[in-house]
Amino acid sequence: MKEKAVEKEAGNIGYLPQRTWSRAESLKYEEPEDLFSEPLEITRTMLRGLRMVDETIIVYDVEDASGSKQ
Amino acid sequence: MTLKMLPVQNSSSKSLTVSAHNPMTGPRHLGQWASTVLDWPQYQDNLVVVVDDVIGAILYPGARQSLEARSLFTMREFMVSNFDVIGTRFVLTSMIPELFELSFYASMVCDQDLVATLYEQTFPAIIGPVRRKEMGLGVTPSAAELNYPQIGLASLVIGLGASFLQGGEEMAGYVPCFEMICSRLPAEMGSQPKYLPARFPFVLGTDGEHMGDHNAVYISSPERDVESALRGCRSPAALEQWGAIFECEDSLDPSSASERLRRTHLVETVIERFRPYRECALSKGEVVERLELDAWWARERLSHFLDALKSVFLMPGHG
Repeated sequence: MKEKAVEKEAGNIGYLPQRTWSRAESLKYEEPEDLFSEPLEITRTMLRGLRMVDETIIVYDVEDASGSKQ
Repeated sequence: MTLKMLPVQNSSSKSLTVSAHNPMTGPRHLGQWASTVLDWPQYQDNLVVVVDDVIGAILYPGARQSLEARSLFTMREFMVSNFDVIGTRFVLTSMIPELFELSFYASMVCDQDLVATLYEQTFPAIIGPVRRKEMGLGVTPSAAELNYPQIGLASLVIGLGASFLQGGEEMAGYVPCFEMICSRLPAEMGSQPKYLPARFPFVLGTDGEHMGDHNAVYISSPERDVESALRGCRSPAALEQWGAIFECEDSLDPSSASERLRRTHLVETVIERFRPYRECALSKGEVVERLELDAWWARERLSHFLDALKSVFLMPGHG
């Protein structure tokens, strides 16, 4: 109960703990790291409409029999 | 402070547009910027920028240590674009507990078989067990992985009363999720949000293929990296598309300007356009403060929708 009272005095809502945001010391630009040991390659057709795609994938065009790209 | 104490927001006849993003895919690159941020001036008086850190926590268990930093950095990149625009809101999903209550009630009208089918249209469903392990995912999906991507964002967009979801073509994949939920709710709960396609849904990378991490130009990267990427590009198709994105062709006559002159103009234009991201003056505190403020706005909107939804289900106290 004592802990809750302290949190409340610190401006929290009821007994809810406050966010500390301690894992983001400074907001600095960092290029993303590889997600997989080998990059995943998919066709552009597979990509269309696929949700939550990671940016590490390599999307390539494939040509059908008529020579047009998909 | 309680939700009831907040001033009643004008639920407004204006149409809200949601732009949703996964923070775990790293800093934004030109492709993501062109398929979303570039179009924001059309919607900025009623724009909700959502960074879905919850989806990041679900899909990237092996990288959760960087979830907070990436979420705030991604949000800051977006805030740079629209920080002073009245009417633009910035929402981090983990700050909206009403979203999860709403998702649960929404799940009551969703067929599990349909949810499973929609899940098959997601990235983690197609990558196979070895790559799932590399991401820290189990061989089979968790209940959250199976359900939240189909119901969570759709519930948020519907609950906010948004009319549109904008973005690259992957956002079109959320239309079946909207249909699944909206078709089974009373019409007075609101109309089904529509997908607003981007002007540039498929942006080419420096090698002429679809832009991803391996061939990207990042909006916050140092000036020398932007210049190096643009000058090193050997794809005429990519250069032409970037010229169209940055409207470079409008200011130079392509019939008379040399290739070298056109490229230099493109480099200078992109470097200048991305300067605010590189030189961002927004501190972590300012980002967090804005998130806290806009979270209350979103929570209040969702709480009103939730109240109506609970009435539909005849929940006690919501008659």
